[in-house]
Amino acid sequence: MRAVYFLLIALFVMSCGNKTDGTPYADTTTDPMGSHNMSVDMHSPTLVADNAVHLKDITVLNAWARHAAKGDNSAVYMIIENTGINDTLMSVDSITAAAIELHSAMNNKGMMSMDPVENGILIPAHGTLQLQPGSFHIMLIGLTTELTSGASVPFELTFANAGTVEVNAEIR
Amino acid sequence: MKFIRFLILTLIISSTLSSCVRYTFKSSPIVPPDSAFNIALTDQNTQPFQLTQLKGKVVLVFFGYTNCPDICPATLSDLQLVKNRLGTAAANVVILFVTVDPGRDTPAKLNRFVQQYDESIIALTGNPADLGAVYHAYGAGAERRDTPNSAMIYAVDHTSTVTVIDKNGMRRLLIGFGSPIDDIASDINALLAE
Repeated sequence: MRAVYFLLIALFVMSCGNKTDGTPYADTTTDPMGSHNMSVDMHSPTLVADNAVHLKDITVLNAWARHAAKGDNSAVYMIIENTGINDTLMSVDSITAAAIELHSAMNNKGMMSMDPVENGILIPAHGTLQLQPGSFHIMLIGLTTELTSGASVPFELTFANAGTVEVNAEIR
Repeated sequence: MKFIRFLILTLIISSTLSSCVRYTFKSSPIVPPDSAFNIALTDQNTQPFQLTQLKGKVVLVFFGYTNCPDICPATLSDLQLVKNRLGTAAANVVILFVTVDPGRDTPAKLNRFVQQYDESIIALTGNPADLGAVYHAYGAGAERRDTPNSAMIYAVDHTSTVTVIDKNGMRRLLIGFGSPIDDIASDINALLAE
C-alpha cells in the first residue's frame, strides 16, 4: 500500500517537472546577443583561435557588427584584452559609416540611455574590455553600405599606446 | 492510524499537484494582471492599428527608435530568436515596436528597420498625443536628449522593458533587457498554453 502512495507521489512530481521547466527546444541557435550573459564562454580557446588580432600588448577578439540597412545605424562589439599597462581605445575608422563614435549605454532602473564617450575607453592594465549590447559599443552612424549577415567588414582601431590595428568584424 | 496516514499522503499529493500546475514565470509578473491600454496608432504601412485586433495572440510591446544602434536592435534580435525557438507556435505571437522618435521615424524608415529582423513585426507611430498616451500607459518614459558631441544630434532615452500581453488582452509580464532567450520562450509558451 505504502509503495503505491510513493509511486503516486513520484508520478506527480515527474509530471510536474515536465510542466515547469519544459522548454521543448534545447537547440543551440546562434545567439548574436550571447555576449551579455556568456562572458565566460567568450574566453574559450576556440573563439580566441577564431579571429584574434594582436598588436603589442593588445589582443582583439570576437569582433562583430549587427546587420543593418544602408542609411541606418549599427554597432560593433568585441573583446579587447590588454596584457600591458593602461591603454585607451581612442577612435575607430571605417568606410562603412558617415560617422563612427565610441558610445556607452546605461541602464538606469530600466531606462536606457546612450551617450558618446569622451576621451576614449580605458582598457585597464592586465584587464579586459568587453564591448557588448547594453554597454560600451562602437556606434556606426549613417551606414554607407548595407551590412549583410555573414559578410565581414574591416575596421581600424586606434589605441593611445599600442597604435593602430585593423580588425575584421563579422556581420551577424 | 491507517486513516491518518492516508490523510497525510493525500495532503502531500494535493499540495505537490497544486504547486506544479501553476507555472512560475521567469520574467517579472504584473500582479495582479491589468487590462492592457488599447494601443491605437498607425503601422509601417500607414494603416490604422488597434491592439484589440490582436485578441487571441500573445503580444510583446517594445519601445525604441530606429536610430538606436544598440539596445533596440539587440532586443528585436532577441525577440526574433525567441520566435524561432517557438516554432509553429510563433504564429500566435506578435511583436509591436512603438517608436519613441516620431520626428525621425517615418513609416518607411520604420518598415526598413523592422524588416531587418522579422517581417511580422508591427512598427507603430502616430501623433504626439496618441503616442504620449501609449508611453504613459506602458511606462515607456521616452525622453529626448540633445547630444551635441554626437552625429546622432539627439538620443531618446526610453525603457528597455518588453511588456507581454496575454491572449485575453491582459498585461502579464515585464521582460528585462538581456533576459535569456530560453526564459522568454518558456514564459511565452506558458501563456500560449493557457
